Amino acid sequence: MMHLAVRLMAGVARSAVLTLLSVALVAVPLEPGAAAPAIEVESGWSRPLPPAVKSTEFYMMIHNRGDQPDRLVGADSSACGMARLYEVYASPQGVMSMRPVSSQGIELPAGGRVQLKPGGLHVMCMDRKREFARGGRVPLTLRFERAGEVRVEVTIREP
Amino acid sequence: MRASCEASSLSTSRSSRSNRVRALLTEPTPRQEHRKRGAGTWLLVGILAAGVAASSPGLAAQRAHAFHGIASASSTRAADFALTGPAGKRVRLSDFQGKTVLLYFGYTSCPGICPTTLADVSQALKTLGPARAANVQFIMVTVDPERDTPDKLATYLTYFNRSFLGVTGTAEEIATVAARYGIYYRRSEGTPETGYLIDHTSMVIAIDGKGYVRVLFPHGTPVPDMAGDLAYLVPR
Repeated sequence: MMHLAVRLMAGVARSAVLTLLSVALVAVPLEPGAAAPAIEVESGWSRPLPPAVKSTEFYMMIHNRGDQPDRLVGADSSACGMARLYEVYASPQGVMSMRPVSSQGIELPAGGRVQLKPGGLHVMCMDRKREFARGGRVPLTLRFERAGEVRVEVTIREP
Repeated sequence: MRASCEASSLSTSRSSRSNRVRALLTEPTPRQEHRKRGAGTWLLVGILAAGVAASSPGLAAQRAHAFHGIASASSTRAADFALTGPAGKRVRLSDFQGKTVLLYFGYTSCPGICPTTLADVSQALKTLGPARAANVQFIMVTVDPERDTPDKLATYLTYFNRSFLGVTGTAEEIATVAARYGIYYRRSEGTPETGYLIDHTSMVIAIDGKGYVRVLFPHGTPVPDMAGDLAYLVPR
């Protein structure tokens, strides 16, 4: 491949060859046929909390860049004894309650996005295993019906 | 005598404040220009409302401030209570006469709803500035007296803001106080990992320095809205 590239670039300045080569290397897919990942997770965060608090929540924006619908069906984190998809709902009188998301998971239409946020859908981290100090990062694996496992990091910060 | 003192000090403060507001309007910093209009506008409304309230108490009484939160029906007196605070000391609502009390019912094992409220209130107080924030006392009454000891409450609440105060009591005491403020709570099952959770009304109740309920902030009230209302309620 290198030979081919060099031959193709014959006569071009050395620096330009190197630049083009590096671009080509970046663009080479990791495995044959792999497309750009359909699922993109943006600005994952969780609130800094005192150590005694054992349950907390992860929030993020999830984009489905693909042309097929998908579903977020589960989550795992080494920082949590158990992670589950949860949702907060309010009664008309303002009573706030929580319930696990149904086994159907959270729907992500093709080209759509869903926001996990305080007071709405979120990943609940139960039996927290470590301190969530401001500025820290926590690993989180999201499981999608179609895209499979997607690993992200959640930043510990204020919104 | 008192009125005239206020009147004379007011004319100066009014003009300096209106200058500041004018400066805000005509000389936006790059950051202000980039900021989305919503929050900035509400903040400005808050500043203007605060200006009117502080500069002319008579006028403010006649012209109602348009609260962002739910304004309370006139002259609803806040029910006094005696509950247990840090180090087992009895804490009464009436201990805070002269201060604006923000009353909230929550619990320390609350995964997201209470931390969101606590962080929002803390942020609103920061917006208000240290001098006025010192005239505000936030009190959280636990709806989980079984697990929330005075120490646990204190450690938890001061994490969000050093001035926050937590109180507990017997299950009966808590039930009585909650009922008087129209707060509903009920234990829900949770999971073995979370332990039991508590469904509860998540609402910040603002009580003025004379002991009247003035405004309710339902869950999710934007920080600038809360700060704007507090700027009106909390004396300088």
